[in-house]
Amino acid sequence: MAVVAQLVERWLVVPDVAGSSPVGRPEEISPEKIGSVLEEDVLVSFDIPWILIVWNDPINLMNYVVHVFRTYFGYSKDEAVRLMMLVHNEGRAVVASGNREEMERHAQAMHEYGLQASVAKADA
Amino acid sequence: MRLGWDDDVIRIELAAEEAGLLTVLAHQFADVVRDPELDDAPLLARLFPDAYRGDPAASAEFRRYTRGELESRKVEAAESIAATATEGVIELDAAAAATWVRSLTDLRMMVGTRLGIRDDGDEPEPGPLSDVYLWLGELQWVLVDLLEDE
Repeated sequence: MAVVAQLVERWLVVPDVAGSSPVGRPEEISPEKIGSVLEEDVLVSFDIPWILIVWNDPINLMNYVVHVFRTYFGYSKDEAVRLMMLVHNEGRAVVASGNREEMERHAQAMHEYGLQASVAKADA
Repeated sequence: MRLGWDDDVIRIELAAEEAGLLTVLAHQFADVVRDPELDDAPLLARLFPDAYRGDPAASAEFRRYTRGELESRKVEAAESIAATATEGVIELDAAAAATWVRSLTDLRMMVGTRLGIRDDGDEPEPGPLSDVYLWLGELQWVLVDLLEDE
């Protein structure tokens, strides 16, 4: 993903929130959290056969990807930032799972937002 | 250019050349998407990517029933930029601003593809087109931040 190096303060009529970083920080992951993530993955692979993957691309801005995850999927800001960082660092992230039709609808929506998204079987 | 919230609208002050640039790019984008003769394959591959990686048949099927709607939604969004970007102060409510940020991604994809940006860290050759690309990125970045602050 692309990062705009210098924020253009001169554009802003409203002062930015002091100390806020433009991208936000990836949250610390506690052992409990890892446990719950693993459990979730197991559930996904047995019960829900389709996933939606968002892939890294060099054009989309980090804050825009967070904005899309938050507004379209309704993720909290923290979760949207975590998923965006996964896409950025790992090259992709699973952002939804469910039945195939639903994942295709999400893929179409992501393409409308200009994100690179694809559908796959969870066990693929 | 200055922008910020004023009550429930985002106000953007655009210089004549900035408004003109946005309008021209939005029209170009709509042309590329609508006119099959232009056949800008690298851009179209990014705008309408394979929904099933490694499965051309399933991707073609997905494209067959989503492409038309995606095209019209993208063209509609670009046209809304072309219609509102005028010299002076313009006002966008949150919904209009969300449409702008969505279409700005498309416009940046068009310009970025022309500049040969393929991977993270690719730096475009300095020049007028890369200035346009960076300017669009700054505009989108600030607009997204304003929407997120809402």
